[in-house]
Amino acid sequence: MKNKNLGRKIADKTAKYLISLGGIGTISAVLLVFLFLFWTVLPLFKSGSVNKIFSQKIDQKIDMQHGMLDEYGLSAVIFDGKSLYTLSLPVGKVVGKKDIDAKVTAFGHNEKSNSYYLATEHGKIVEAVIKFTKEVVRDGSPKGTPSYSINDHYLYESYENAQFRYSTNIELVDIIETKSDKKIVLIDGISSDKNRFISYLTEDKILHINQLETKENIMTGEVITDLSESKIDLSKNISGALPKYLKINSSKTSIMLFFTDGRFISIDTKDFNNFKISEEKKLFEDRKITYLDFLIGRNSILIGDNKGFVTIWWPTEDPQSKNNYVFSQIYSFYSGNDVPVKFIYPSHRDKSFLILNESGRLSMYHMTSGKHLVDLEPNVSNPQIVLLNQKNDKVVVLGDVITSYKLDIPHPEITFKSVFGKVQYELTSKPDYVWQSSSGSDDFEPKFSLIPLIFGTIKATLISMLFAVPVALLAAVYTSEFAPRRFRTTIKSTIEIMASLPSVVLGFIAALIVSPFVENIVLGFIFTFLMIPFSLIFLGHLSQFLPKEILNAMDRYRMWLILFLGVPMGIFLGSILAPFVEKSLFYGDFKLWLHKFDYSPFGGWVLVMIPFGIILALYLYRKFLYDFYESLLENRSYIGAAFIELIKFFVLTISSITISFLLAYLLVLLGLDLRFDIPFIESIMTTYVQRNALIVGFIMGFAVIPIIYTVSEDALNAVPEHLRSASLAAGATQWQTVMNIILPVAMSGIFSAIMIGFGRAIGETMIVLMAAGNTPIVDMNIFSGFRTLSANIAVELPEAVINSTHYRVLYLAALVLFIMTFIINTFAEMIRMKYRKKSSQL
Amino acid sequence: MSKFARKNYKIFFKSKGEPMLWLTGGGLIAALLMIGLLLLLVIKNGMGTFWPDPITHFELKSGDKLMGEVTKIEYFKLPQEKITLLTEQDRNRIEKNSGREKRFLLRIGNFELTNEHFKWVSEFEIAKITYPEDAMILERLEWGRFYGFPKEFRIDGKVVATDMKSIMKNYEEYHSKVRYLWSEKVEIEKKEIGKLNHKIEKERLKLKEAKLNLQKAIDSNDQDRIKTAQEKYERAEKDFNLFTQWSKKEYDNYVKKIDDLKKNYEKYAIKFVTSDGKEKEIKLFEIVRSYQANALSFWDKTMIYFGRWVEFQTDHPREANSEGGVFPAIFGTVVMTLLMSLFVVPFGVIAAIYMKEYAKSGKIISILRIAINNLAGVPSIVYGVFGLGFFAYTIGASIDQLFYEAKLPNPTFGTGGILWASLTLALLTLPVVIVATEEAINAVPNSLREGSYACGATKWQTIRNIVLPRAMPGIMTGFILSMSRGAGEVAPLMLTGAVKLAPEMPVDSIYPFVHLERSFMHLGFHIYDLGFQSQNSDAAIPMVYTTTLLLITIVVLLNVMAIYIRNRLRKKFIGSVF
Repeated sequence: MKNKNLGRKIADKTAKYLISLGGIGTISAVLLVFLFLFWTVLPLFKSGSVNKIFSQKIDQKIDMQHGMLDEYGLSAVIFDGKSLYTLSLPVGKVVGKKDIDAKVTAFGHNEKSNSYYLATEHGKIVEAVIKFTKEVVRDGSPKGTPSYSINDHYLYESYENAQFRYSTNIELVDIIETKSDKKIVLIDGISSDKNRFISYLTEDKILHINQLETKENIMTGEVITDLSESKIDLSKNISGALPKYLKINSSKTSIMLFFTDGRFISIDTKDFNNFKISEEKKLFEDRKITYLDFLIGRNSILIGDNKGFVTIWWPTEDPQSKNNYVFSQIYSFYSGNDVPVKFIYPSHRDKSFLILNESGRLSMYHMTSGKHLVDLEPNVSNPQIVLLNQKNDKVVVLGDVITSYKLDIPHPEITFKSVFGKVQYELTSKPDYVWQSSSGSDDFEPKFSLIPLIFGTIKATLISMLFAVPVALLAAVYTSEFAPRRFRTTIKSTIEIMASLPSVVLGFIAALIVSPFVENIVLGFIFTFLMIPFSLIFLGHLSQFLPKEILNAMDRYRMWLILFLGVPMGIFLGSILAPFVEKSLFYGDFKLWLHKFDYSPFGGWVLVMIPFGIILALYLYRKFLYDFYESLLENRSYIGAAFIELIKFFVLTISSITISFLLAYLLVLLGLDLRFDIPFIESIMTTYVQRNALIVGFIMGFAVIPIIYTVSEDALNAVPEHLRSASLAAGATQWQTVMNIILPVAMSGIFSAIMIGFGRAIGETMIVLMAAGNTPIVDMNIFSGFRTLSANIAVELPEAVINSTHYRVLYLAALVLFIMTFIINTFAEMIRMKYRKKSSQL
Repeated sequence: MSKFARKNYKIFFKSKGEPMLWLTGGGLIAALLMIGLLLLLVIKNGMGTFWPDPITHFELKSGDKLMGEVTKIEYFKLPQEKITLLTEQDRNRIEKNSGREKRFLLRIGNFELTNEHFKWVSEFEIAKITYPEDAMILERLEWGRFYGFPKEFRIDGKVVATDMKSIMKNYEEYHSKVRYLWSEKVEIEKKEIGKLNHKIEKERLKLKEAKLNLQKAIDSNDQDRIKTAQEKYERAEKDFNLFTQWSKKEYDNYVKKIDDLKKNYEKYAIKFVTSDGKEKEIKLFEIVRSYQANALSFWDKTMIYFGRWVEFQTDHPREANSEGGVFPAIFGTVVMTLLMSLFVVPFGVIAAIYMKEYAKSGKIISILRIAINNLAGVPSIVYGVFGLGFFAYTIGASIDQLFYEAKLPNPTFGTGGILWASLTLALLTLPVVIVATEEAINAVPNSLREGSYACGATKWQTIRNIVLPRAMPGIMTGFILSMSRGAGEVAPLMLTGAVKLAPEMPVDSIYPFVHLERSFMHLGFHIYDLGFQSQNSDAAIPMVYTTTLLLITIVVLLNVMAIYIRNRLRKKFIGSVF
């Protein structure tokens, strides 16, 4: 007996703990989802870190002007104005030196092809192409700290059970032989597989541009180089000192010359045979340029000056005259200490760059996000240049001593502002919200603004709620209060089945059936929506002419009358009214009207103003005509009263329309056009896209209706029966009971139903993915496509590389969705709980 | 009396609110109408897809001849300058249709000859429409449908029949035999060679594992370990070489078998002439189904109709999913849903019991309720994101590190798969089960519990013997509802493992029979993929409809079942309060 009791007790306790554990564990899953999303997103906003790897004295003194680093941060090629040195960094030794046969008068560099353009005093232009190689000597998994040694120009990296060999090869290619004896003072070039584009300035102030094209004869294998040259005399523009920098932009459409004192000349080279000076100005009044280079991609110019600032410039559209571009300052960074900027090195990977100033301070910034990534404190005396490797994970500071750092900046382009604020991307004229996560080109800068996606989400949600809330609430009120009792369960079950319809089915129907169908009858579609309620109310008024007994028993037939009379009548009215309106207000073609801006916007305004017209008409009626209407009803017969009711309805309808016409006329008089230039929101309706917000709103409403319906119907049903009975017993009609007792009591429940529907619409994925066209734009136009957070995740997450910036930003999108719905649902649930308490007290 | 009534008319209509009642009723009707129309649309198109259409033969005024099935007829606006070029008769007809002209979308098939699957034909282009009795439709393994007139029946290149009747006789005689041989060949390819490949892969992994171990041993610098690992590796290498020899022989065997079969069935062919006079020989085994569309009786059509339904539900997809069946998708959906309920039901029930029977303070209950409602309200795509990141990339990647190191960097569990998909959906449907179970537990009258306690039962005994049995129908409801939700959900599956075409099923005859790491096909995803990613979308849309019909049928049936059980449950317990 005791044993059995013990067993029972143990079983009871075990069950208790297991169930509690399981219960709480299950529920903490919510927390887990949130925490996991948060955890994945968090690294986005972390700043970078640097760790020193080694420091080594150089065995030779070099006056460094520029350099290039290999992928592993172990070898570098340094240019000192005369020769190219190959440095093995971990040992600090010069292992090779390439001399140029004559004195170099100018040099340019091209990181993309790892090459230098060197102009010599004999008028020869040489391209030095640098190749870094890594070979495996002994295969194995590297472990521990490596040791380095040099043997016969090779750098050996040895681990316990693996060894690698690094070498550097510099190849000199003669590319141009200028016949003139004038010294070349500036040079820049762009090389690709077969083409070279070289520009140089000679001391007689003539700018030369050479285009070299290498062709290989397929039959003979012979390589021919075509050279075409063009020049422009700049002696009129260049007075005094010669310019200090010459740069060719990536599209080879403009060549820019900069002077130390801040003067700037831009030459338009779009037409190869006819160059012209497109812009000439002074960039700075009181600063001197101390260093200048391109950011990766050769679009933005980084200018370091003597005050310690680095400013970033690119041509933007002139606000005064379109199609005219002016070189303007976009960003500015301060490197500290008010000392001149000594050297700038752009990253090979993204839009970040390193600044070295005269006081030896080294900092790294990202242009578009403006993020201050890291500060380095090189205890190198007299640092001269600083280099970054291709992968952006090694920094080498060179002076008398070499210091190498490991750099870890996982997501330089992300700040809170770059995700949620307006950002001015390279070559754009103004800051904007852009989502563009990938592209074909290498130098592409991903644009991660979540605003277009959040905007799309809210747009879709609002339009669908505009449609779903009235339908669902009306349906709920009717089912719980007026529908014949025996139908109620059937109706409710049917609508619950509607809730279970997979959204992929709705999406398919929206995209492949509804949108092509609606495309041809846009106005008819809109008018049907207006006409169905109109004809229902109209028929309601007509039915008041029926004898009182039939009217009182209306509950039995009303549904069928609506189905077979009201709805068809609405559709019929819509379909005959739409062509008429199209002809009279929209010049016969609504879709053409939408994008033909010389047509008057009047018709569109009328359409938009109809709801306001109705509201205003009702308001005016209540305020000024209500007493008159009541006095008319005094002492009327049954039919007479019904007739006056009908007249009232017509008067209201006509005055609503008149008011909307007046409002529209007023707006047109004000010169506003809803198709393009409304202040702040730009346009309400413009060019029609087949898969648009209206269609998605309609079909998504379909998905949301059952939820709002079920929850609000429950709320209506939960109103205590005694309130209903009391109201009816006091002589109120059913309608009065609903309006004055039931709806006010159930209000909070209904509100929470709307919130829940809202939450569901925000997260809906498949419908939007299939029917919204997926264009991430911020546009109020109800006839344009859009992209929501959820659809964006569904499209892009499968392709995002794990733990990349893109991947984490998509997690951020999911987190934003989670938080949005969390707030809405918690709010709704709190209201519902409060309401439950309140109604139980009633 | 009448005076009193007359006075009341002033407020009678106002208080009655009849027009507003019509409006509210309109809301309900609109909602119901939308469901009705949607279901009707899907049923009509889904049911109609498989009904054999006649072959229409168009002779055009330009002299071209086109033949195929008319799949769509519509009216389109013809530009005025084009109308003026037409004959008077055409012009009159178009004017009568207010500037619109009728056009037919003709499925012309014969893709390898025409490079088109479909063609629009406007009425003014047509000279003559006929329905030739001899024309045949072929559904083929490749290239889609074929429309043509049979000309010769050939065996081994020799013509054995030239007239329609004997061609058909030969066709009926050999077709099923040839198809049987062909299916045998497919069986060998899929099953036997599949198994062999699987074995080869396993052996290869064994060798790689031995190598990895050796590498590890070398890294550890432990001489004994190196020695044993070395020995093991050498043995594995030897085994592998032996195995390779054996498998090669085995493979050659199968290839020979297949060649024999091929020789047997590839010799039968029919030569067809297309409507524009081109000739084309089609091997008998390539023909899945063929019929003379214009000579069919109603009974024949019905047989073809049901035959196609059977094929649709039992066969594998062909032609980028636009032909054949959806069996793998049905199977994937079912397996995934069942797996999901395996996870969700126990946890959901435990959570509900905890909330209703164990949790005490009101605060905790409120927090729990908010948590559950949030769980229900979080968008499904967020679950997908969580499932991919947490299950696949975190847990799955760790499993790979521990148990499938030899296969790396190819992920085994570290990517989307049926296990992760069903776990994700389990999390998603958890609130459904919790709410349904809670409701059922609520419905168990307290008097029963008190009676049980009075008899000296412990809490757990009461729950097990009194509460749970009575809550069973409610739990069933939750179970069914969660299955219906799981079957219809697509967004999270897109991220966690549903694919357009899965080469292998998650359950098959190769040890260990259930492969939880495999990706799978899903009906909902199939709809998305077919409707939106298909190249030949005109041909795919009928399949989208039938798949939709199938999915809706499953989901609606599950729901109706759940609703039925719930309604019964409510009735039962209303009566049982004592």
